[in-house]
Amino acid sequence: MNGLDHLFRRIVLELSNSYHDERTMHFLAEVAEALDLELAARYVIDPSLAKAAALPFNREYRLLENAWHPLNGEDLAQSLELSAAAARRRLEQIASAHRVRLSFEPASANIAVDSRTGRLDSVVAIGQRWNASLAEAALQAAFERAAGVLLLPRACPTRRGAILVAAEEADATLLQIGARLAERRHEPLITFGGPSKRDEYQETNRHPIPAADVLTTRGVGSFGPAQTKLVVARRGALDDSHLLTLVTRRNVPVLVIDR
Amino acid sequence: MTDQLPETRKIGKIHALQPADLRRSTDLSTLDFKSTDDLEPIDGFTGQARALDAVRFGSAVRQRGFNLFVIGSPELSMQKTVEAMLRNDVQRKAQVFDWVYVNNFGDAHKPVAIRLPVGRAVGFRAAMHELIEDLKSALPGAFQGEEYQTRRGVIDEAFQKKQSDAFEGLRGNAEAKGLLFIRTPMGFVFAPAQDGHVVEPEEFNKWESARRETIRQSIQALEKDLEHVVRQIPAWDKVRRDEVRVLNRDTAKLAIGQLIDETKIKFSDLPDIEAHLEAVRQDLVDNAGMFIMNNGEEEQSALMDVGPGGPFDRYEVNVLVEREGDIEQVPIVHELHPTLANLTGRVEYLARQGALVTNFRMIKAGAIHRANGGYLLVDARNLLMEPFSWFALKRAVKRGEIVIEDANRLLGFTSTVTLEPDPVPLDLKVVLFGDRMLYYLLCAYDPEIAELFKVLADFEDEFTRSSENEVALAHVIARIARDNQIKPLDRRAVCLVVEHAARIASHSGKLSLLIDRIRDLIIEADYQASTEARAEIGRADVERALDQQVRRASRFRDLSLEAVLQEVSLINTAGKRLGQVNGLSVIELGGVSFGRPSRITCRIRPGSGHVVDIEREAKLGGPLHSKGVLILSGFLAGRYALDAPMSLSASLVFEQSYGGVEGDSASSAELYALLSALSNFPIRQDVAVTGSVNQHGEIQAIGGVNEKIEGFFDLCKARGLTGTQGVAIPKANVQHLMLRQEVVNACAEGRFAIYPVTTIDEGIALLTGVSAGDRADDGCFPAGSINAAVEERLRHFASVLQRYGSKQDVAAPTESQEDT
Repeated sequence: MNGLDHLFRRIVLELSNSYHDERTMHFLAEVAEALDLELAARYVIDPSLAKAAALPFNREYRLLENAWHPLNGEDLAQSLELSAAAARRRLEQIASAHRVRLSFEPASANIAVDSRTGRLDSVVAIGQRWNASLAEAALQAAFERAAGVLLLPRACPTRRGAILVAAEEADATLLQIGARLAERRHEPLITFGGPSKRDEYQETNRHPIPAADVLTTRGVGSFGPAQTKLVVARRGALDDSHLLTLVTRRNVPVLVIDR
Repeated sequence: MTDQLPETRKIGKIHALQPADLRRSTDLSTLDFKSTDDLEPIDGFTGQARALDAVRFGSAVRQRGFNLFVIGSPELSMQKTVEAMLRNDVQRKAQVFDWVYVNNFGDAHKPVAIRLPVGRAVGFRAAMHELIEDLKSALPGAFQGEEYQTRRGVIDEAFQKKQSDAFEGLRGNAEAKGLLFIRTPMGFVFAPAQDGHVVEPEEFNKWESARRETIRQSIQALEKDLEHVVRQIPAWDKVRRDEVRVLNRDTAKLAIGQLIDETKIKFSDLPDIEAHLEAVRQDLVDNAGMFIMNNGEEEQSALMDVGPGGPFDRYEVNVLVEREGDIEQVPIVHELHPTLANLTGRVEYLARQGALVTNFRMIKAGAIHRANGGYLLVDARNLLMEPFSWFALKRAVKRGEIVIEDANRLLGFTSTVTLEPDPVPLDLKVVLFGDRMLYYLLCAYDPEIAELFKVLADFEDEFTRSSENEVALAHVIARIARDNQIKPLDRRAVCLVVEHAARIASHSGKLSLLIDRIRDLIIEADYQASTEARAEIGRADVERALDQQVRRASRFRDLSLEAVLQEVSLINTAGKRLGQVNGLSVIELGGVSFGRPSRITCRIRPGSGHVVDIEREAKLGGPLHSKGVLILSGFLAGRYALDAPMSLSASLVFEQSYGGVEGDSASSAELYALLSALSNFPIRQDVAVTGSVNQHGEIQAIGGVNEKIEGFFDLCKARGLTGTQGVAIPKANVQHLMLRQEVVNACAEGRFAIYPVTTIDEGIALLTGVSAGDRADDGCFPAGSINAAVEERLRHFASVLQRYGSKQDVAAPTESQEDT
């Protein structure tokens, strides 16, 4: 048993039929490993595709071939199956490398949290895709499905860096998450808006970490994206524009907690 | 020792040699010492003034081609002597540098050679390594910095926005026309919509045909729009990549600039290094991606230029020559294994995925690189035995630069990509060591020798045995003892070693300079002294060492002597025999030589005037031996029966000789056998003979006189010395006598004798006890003399031939060998 079992059980990753960024998978596996979470991959299949394949004028434009091809149900089903199998195989390799439990299942277009566990057990990972900005509505929608949302930049960093926690005073949940990530990944921990002294921090943390690794700072201006591996924030601690800047401009993943 | 011989030692006109003539003792009376500890050691340069002057001259002249070829015996320790001289040559100031190879950023297959002052190469290597290590931190920091990330985010976002705007536009247009724009695993598709979802196929089929046609046309129009958008994406992406590239270069320049400038300051006195650092700066800016390749997919291409040691190898420094120790000292490199690679350096390879790869860091220096600015010492024989080495060395000396050559490439064995490193300017004195024969052969067959090795240093094998030189050799002996950390030699031991030096020189008036052999003797004497627990090496130790040296190498000699004693090999050492004489030969095996008596016989008959050399007929005689035998015919023809045709047929043979016979040192013995056969006067078998003869009957000097005498002495001693036994030697060889003390003692006691002979007449009188006889005014030899008997016999043969009227050979031989 670990101290975080009562917080989350899984990270839910939505894999669309065209989006399989490997670095994102590795990053998620790292986080899952550090927090002892299951990696729950949902391969999303748009149900409208099957209907589209049965219609006339159903031509598919293939990007790699730069050409139009007739779209029929059989071909579509086969390509979806191949795409899902490839995604699963790669994810299994990554999960195995990180010693992370993995579940993989197809899902409909609308992400639904497993009804057996519920919203509070899950962190939903959202990768930024074609959308230039992350709308508040998207964040809102994600929080309807999970108590944690992991916002992923277009290219997740593989660099080493600090775990930065944006927490209110004595926010034990965030500090626990941040401390666990820092400890397991052997990264320094920076608290922002949290306890300013190590002693205070240790009072709230049952897993003390070496003093040299605990760096306490204050103020948004001290954010150093170059040295940041992940930002853990309470929902509302940073406004949406800040979140978007971190994710889109500074390439820093942000885990937003709402529980 | 007895100085005066008994009266019996005088035979005819010939006096046996005095003991003092047989072995010259050492005179160190001017030197006051008890042991070599009292002597000031001197170097081994004694007696080599001519060669050492040549070495000094060769090392002093700076012009190209004045390289040295040092010749002499391998046992002279020439290399040590020359090396010591060159090392002590204070006149030549070291013109030496460190050399490094760095990457050529314009053409990686042609690495650049840079010359640095001594001691700076290692610092340069460290500075470049430190620079790269710093950049590994600084560059990622710059690229992960807020400013870069913000600017990069703007560029990426603009690109994303263009794409998403275009697709959103398409999506909007589609919705306006009642269509949905859907992503598939491989691309996109447009589908008619109803209530925001793809219409059910059954429902669609119920639609009016006009509506369906409208949908179809709308889809066709949107498909064209989609194609248009997709076609634009590569162009947008190129714009993005160009912007990112510019951003990367600007960022890299900023991060690199300061570090490069700091490094340049350290080498501001070296323009070549500054130029290289500028090239590094440019390359770093162009390839900054390799430092941050995990931070963006664009930079992956930087991996294409990865060398054997990784992508950062290109900025490292390969220190080719690094001067160590006393930097003022002229480098002297002695290459014992002068393969092409060991001489001119080599390019090594790594096998990677089945291919051989290399880069400038895998260039290895050769002996020529290390010796550059100084001296390269090479054994000529070793050099010539290595393929390509001789020619490569000559090329380097001629060009005045070192070009690394690959033997495999010269032979066509490798086809992989290799390097063409910058040639390194060469300022080198080559010193070749070899024996004389090798040098003269090279001179005969390689015309470039005279051009490239203008200075010959010919080391003497021996020097005159004056009192001063004996003293000098004693000092050299002291140095040998000290250098080899062995016991000191007492005075009598030193004297014996000096005498042995004369024996090695095979000349009582010379001293050998074969220091190696003298050292070997002293070391063995030291061992003998140690076995007796003596603090000093005494004369007895040296004598035992000499005996042991002979004993170890004497197996064949002993077998040969045993064969004679058991009368397997027939050699008489007493009595007289007609047409038979004991000649003496020297056998050399494995560097050891010993004398052995050989029975030489002659048989005669009337004939056509030829002396048949059976050795030559059997192809066992060498050309010199054959020449000696042919001279006998000339002697006979010029001395006897001048008014009659030469009607002799004689055959000469070395009995029981089954190997080759070479040299003319037995020609006098053969002539004695012939004269004995012709005159019918038998020859003493207790006196052996050596010496060559000319057409006038003069006895000439031969080689190996000491070994020959000792060989016959050993046989006589084994059978018992009778007092009449001895050896007749050419008078010219008396100066060469350095006989074993045992032989000298036997002679002094009248049990053995050495006779110096000047002419054939003297020799035949000694051997037969009958005067040879001089031709009188009437043209006749005295009756009863050897010569008269020979002439009479030849006239008889002539008359026999005349009587038969033919030059055909006549019946049987006219005499037989008889023991008298």
